Amino acid sequence: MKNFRILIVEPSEIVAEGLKGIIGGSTRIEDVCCIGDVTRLEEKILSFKPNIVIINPLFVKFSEKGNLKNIVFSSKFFTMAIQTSYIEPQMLRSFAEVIELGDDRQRIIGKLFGIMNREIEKKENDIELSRREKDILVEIAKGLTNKEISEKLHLSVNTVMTHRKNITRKTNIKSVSGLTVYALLNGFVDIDI
Amino acid sequence: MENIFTENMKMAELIFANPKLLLVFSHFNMGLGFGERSVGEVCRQNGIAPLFFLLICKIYTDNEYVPSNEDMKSVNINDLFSYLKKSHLYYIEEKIPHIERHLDIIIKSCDKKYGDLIGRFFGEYKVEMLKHFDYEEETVFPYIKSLCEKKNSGAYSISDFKRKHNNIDEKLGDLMNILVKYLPSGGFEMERIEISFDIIQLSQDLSSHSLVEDRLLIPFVELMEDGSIN
Repeated sequence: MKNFRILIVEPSEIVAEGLKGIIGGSTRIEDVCCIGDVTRLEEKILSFKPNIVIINPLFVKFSEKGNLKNIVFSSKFFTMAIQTSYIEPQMLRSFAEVIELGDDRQRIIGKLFGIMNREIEKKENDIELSRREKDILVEIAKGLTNKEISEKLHLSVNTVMTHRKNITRKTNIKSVSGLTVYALLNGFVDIDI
Repeated sequence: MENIFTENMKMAELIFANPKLLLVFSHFNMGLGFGERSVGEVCRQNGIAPLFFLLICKIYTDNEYVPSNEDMKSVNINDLFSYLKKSHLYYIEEKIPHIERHLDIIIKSCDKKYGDLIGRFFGEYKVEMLKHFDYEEETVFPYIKSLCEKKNSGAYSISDFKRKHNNIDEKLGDLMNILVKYLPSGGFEMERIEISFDIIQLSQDLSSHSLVEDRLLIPFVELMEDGSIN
């Protein structure tokens, strides 16, 4: 099943292309993309939608951008390190896995497959809201009642209530105003509604 | 657990058995520093009936505790009112402003649009809490007083309160989730951890407070309505 998208963030073209060559042949990989610096990393992640990001930890170590860590270590994908020079062990612990320059082909593939399996496991226990649940959350945040939501989205009131129960189960938030804050914090609705 | 709480035990032992009971002291307006004195002695010095004090401690300690008929006899309704009102005051004048002050620091430290949201959310919670206490003090307590004075008009009954009464810690749980899970981290982490502890403590105290009303106040008034207690 070809469903993994991998983003490599590495300044050295030799290393980046070498890594791409090694992992790109795997049947489980849909696409591999290489970028050489982090200036447009956030946009790239949004457009490429990787499941795994392999980044040189030097970027994280020397970044002047305060929020780079938040971008690199996201819950939306796994982050692996490609280590080309000495990095403090403490920093390496932030990564799901570390690929070293001395690793051979088999070892690199092994590490990558390990992470892919974790990604599959994660999907199985996923508590992210479904698309429908997000639609309903948006209407809740706008202050609509169950009945109004059911009319607007052409659903039965019972279905709306089931979705609401699931939203509360997944987010652990019960009150309407709490759900509104949640929806706004996650950018499902605009802040000034 | 309830059996170990007796009038003759040292007050200090009771506190060390369940430190959450420290808040009961504040709700009874009792000071600490009681040395080796017993529960009975400290209570009498503060003008509180020891059995009533112990009953509250039992409800606070054991969520499953259901007061017996014997327990009901130890209740003086005025003491119970004054206990509940003191608790309300503690929430309104101490705990909420305390959380508000600390929350303010977090609000100012994060992105303004998020900060405003959290501020508004907490503001709404405060209004809800005040309304809840107001209803009890302006409607429920006067009704019970009229019942004591046998001047009840019959328009209201404690079953109306029983139906309506809810635990007001739901939004606190939501706030906790938002602070711990969803608000992006942005400095003042210690403040956020501290305030999470404050919220947990308030939420636990509120749920014990609710239990006192559900397990003690309501059944007691039901007995009064029946005429079983005067």
